Amino acid sequence: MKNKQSKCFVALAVVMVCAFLLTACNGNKDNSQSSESASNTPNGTSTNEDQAGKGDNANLKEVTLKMILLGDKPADADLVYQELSKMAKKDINANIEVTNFTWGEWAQKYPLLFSSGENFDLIYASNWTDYQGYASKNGFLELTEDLLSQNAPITWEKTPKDAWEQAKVNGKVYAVPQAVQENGAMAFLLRGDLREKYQIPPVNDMAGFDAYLTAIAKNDQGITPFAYQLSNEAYFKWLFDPNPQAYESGSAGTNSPPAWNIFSKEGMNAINHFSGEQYKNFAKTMFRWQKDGILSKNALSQKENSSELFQTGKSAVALSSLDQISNVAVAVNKAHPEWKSELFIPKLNFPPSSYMQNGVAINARSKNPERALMFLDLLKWNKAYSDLTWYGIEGKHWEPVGDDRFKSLADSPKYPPGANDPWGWRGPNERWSVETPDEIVKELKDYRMVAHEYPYGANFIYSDANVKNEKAAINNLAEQYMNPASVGLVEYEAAFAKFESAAKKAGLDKVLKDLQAQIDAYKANNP
Amino acid sequence: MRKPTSDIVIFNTLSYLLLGVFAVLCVVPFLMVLSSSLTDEQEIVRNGYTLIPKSLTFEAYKVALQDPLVILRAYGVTIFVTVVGTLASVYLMSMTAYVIHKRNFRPANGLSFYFFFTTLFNAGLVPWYILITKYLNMKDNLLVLIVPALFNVFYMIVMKAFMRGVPEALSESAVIDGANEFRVFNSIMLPVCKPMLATITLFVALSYWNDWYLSMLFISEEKLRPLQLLLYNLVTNSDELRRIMQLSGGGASVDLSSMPQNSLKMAVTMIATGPILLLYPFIQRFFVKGLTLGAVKG
Repeated sequence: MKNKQSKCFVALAVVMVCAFLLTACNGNKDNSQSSESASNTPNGTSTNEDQAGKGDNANLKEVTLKMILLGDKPADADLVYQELSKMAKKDINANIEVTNFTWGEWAQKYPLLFSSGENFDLIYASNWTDYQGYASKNGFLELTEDLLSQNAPITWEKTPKDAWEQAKVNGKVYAVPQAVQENGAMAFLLRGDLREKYQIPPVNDMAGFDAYLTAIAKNDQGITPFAYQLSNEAYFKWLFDPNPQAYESGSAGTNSPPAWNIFSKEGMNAINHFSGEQYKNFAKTMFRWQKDGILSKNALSQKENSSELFQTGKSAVALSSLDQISNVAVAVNKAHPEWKSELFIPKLNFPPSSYMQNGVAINARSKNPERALMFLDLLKWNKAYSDLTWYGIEGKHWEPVGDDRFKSLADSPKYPPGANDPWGWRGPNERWSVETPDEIVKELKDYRMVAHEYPYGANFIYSDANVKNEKAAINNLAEQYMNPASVGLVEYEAAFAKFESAAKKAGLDKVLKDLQAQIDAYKANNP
Repeated sequence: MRKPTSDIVIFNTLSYLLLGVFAVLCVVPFLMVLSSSLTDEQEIVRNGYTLIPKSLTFEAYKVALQDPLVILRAYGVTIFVTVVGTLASVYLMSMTAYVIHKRNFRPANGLSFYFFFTTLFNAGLVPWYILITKYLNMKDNLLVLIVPALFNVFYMIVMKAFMRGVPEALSESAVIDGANEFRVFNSIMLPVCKPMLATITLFVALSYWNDWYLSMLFISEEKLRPLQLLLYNLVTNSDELRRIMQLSGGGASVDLSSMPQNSLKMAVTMIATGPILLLYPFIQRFFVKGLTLGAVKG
């Protein structure tokens, strides 16, 4: 009896809660609608429902496309979006609405878009946003040849075959990759004033680089010659490979032992990174550099990367990708012209970066995928569209200098060039700042002119699914024993001996065997 | 007056020392934030964070307040949400607690189990998100910052326990004088429970003030962003961007020198924590009262 009653009350409580929530819902439905219509053009809201009845006389019915970009919204973004919408309205009768996910929230919000079935059309997608994952779960619309060639003809024609190949997941294309290859090469920025002061010839190779660092360490007390950041910048160890044309570069992660060479079929084998010639040379040099005072004493715990320390005058070398180093060079030349910064691009056979490092995908639930593709075609190939989205409003944020350079104007910080996630439609229309050294621009631009071949093993993707535990344990050991060697605090032989015996016990052989099996499978599929 | 004996002196010194250490431990990080917010950016990169700034500069505050409207609006949102949310939340919870605390209310047990059950089991993030965005349509609405956090079962149980401690004769006498339940609740129970209410009000207010998660998920309209989300974005964006630039291998490239820097983060932290600090001394007297309440009455 009592039981029955309490059940009754539970039910009552449920009803009450629902009623309460419903009233709350009612109250704000009006709210959200009014705010939506206020922010919209009078042409109505997200879908084409409203327009369906109108019987538009133009070929294209008016629609609204929603696009999602990553990154904090710049102050003047709304002005740019309005302009963009105006242009798209004229050309393809579409209103454009853009939503920015800030860097703080995108990782949570991106997956929710798909699980909650949100309504949007275009979204930035890339290797690092787990494009492959969402594509294989059908979060994105499959882009068939028909769809592409009819609605985005320029993209279909001008995007290289390799790019479409790289965008394939289970044999189907789910995103439009960027249309150009980028030069991912590394570059060093040096202090020209110090080099001249200590009478060292211009740096052209590693020997010269070594001389430059040694001289500064010997003569200058207040500066750390080369404060590189261990977890992010250790990749310059490739320069210590005996064969700079085909160096060991495949890796299961920073500082993880399983490694392979991607440059040839014969050379592609599972190896222990720390026993290879490359690492041996690297660690020995680092030991000497640490002894000479070239590296930072607290390199193990250093958080700042080398370019940040370079900019504050604490270090004499900035290391970064060529693209990023140009930003550093611009900032340094402005703040410290007396430093006479110099560029050193080491000779290394750098594989081109993947096409799918930037792309745009279309929501599988999009009601207007055709129009979304048309819009993408404009963004990508129409100079007016790409200039607007990359650099802001002409005459307010920037002004063109020639065909491929721009000059920032006073309002530029309110829409910083290239910062509002236009990367997805990166194409040949990109410009460079007039402040970027000509040398770098030439290097970057020339690289895009021709299609570069990918090395044999570039598409190999390592999976640690079978050996997760072993690999995690070994990575910890590598961190414990090999990190100090990587910054020259202990000698290579001593560190490696300890690491090897511990890693063998933790299952290093099993991990390498698993890697070799994956490589063999790759070789079987890629003659 | 009697001279204190030596054991009392020792006890006093020790306890003052201990308390002093804890007090310093609490204050130092805060001072660190304050001092970093006043330090030159280059100085931080060069020498790290220091307790006493080597060079005093208000640059970071200037940058943070260059668009005061943004911060003011965020303040407005946060204050509105905190005040309305706290009042509604505490009132609702205490009403529930009042009903459940009544021993002669038979379904009380079932009802409290129903509430308790929700603390153990929930459907998880995605269904919750779908419920709020699809069915309640609360996205980009101030209500979404208030409603989901309106009811905290744990606080309600604490309230119930406290109310059970109030002599039943008190409300009985009011009923005899002709008061209905609502009147008893408003005029007898709430005033008697003041110390407990003050504590819970503070907790609830703090959680409303500090919440950024709800706004991160459901607010994309800039005008409705509360202070904490603003702060969160500012603090995370340059780190996240750096991570992504590393991941993408140059594909996503932004000029990092234009990103907000360490001292700016600290300045905004100061701006965001200031007002809630003022709440403590205001509410403190209720705390003391709460502690002594039982003892005095014996």
